Amino acid sequence: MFKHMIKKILKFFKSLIKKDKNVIFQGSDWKDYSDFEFRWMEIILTKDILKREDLLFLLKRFKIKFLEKNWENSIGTEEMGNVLINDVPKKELWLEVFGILSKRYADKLNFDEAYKIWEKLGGYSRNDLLNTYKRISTDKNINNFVNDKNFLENEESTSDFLKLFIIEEFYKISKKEVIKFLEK
Amino acid sequence: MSNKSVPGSIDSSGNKQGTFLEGEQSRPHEHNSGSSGRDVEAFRNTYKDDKVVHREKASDWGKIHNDNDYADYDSSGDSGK
Repeated sequence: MFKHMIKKILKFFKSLIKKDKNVIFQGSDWKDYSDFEFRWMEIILTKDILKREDLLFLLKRFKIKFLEKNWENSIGTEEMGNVLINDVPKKELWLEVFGILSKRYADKLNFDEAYKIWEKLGGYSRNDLLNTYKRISTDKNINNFVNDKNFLENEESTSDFLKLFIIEEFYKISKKEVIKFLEK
Repeated sequence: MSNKSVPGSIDSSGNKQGTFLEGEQSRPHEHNSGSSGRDVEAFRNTYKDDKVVHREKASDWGKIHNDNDYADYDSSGDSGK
């Protein structure tokens, strides 16, 4: 009973402090990202490109923690990445992600390289994109999906998906392998 | 991208096919400001035979942060979704 009352009083004071500080959490403004920048960040942070330890480092760097017990082990990497994109302003997140990529993932495409490839893919026909994806695809489910006649009905949408799928595949292999692949 | 994609539908077997705009919320977390809560946002989930083959944030819909006091939060059995 006594413990419960103390808890209630503490909660009340905590709410007063919060109101005094006028804490309104804004998080990241996604309008700061270009279309490709946002997609690229989403690939890097939510599609198992960065290792769990690096996502944990980023969360701790920005003093974000989940309230679940033992969250460092229980929260999925996609959810960690999503929260980072939601809650950390682009400029700060960008610097840290660039730093991690250049230090620990130097064998992967950097942002500029990925963007150049994205632009190059923009000039491909849908058939070229489909053939390129089929050559590099490692995901059986996506492969079945892109071969579905319903998927192929909408040309604009199909090309957009395929470009994204190709970039995602390129992040599963090294930069050297990507260059070799594109030369063929 | 996927605001150009083919809208999802349910086929005769009851399976989702195509792209659906679906709302989700994160599990509660705390920020450096001391505030805590859940992120609520929309995702474009693309299904083939009821399985998600691709998902991405629906950035054109934005997100909100649902600020709450989770001082007494009990983590057991909360999936957040």
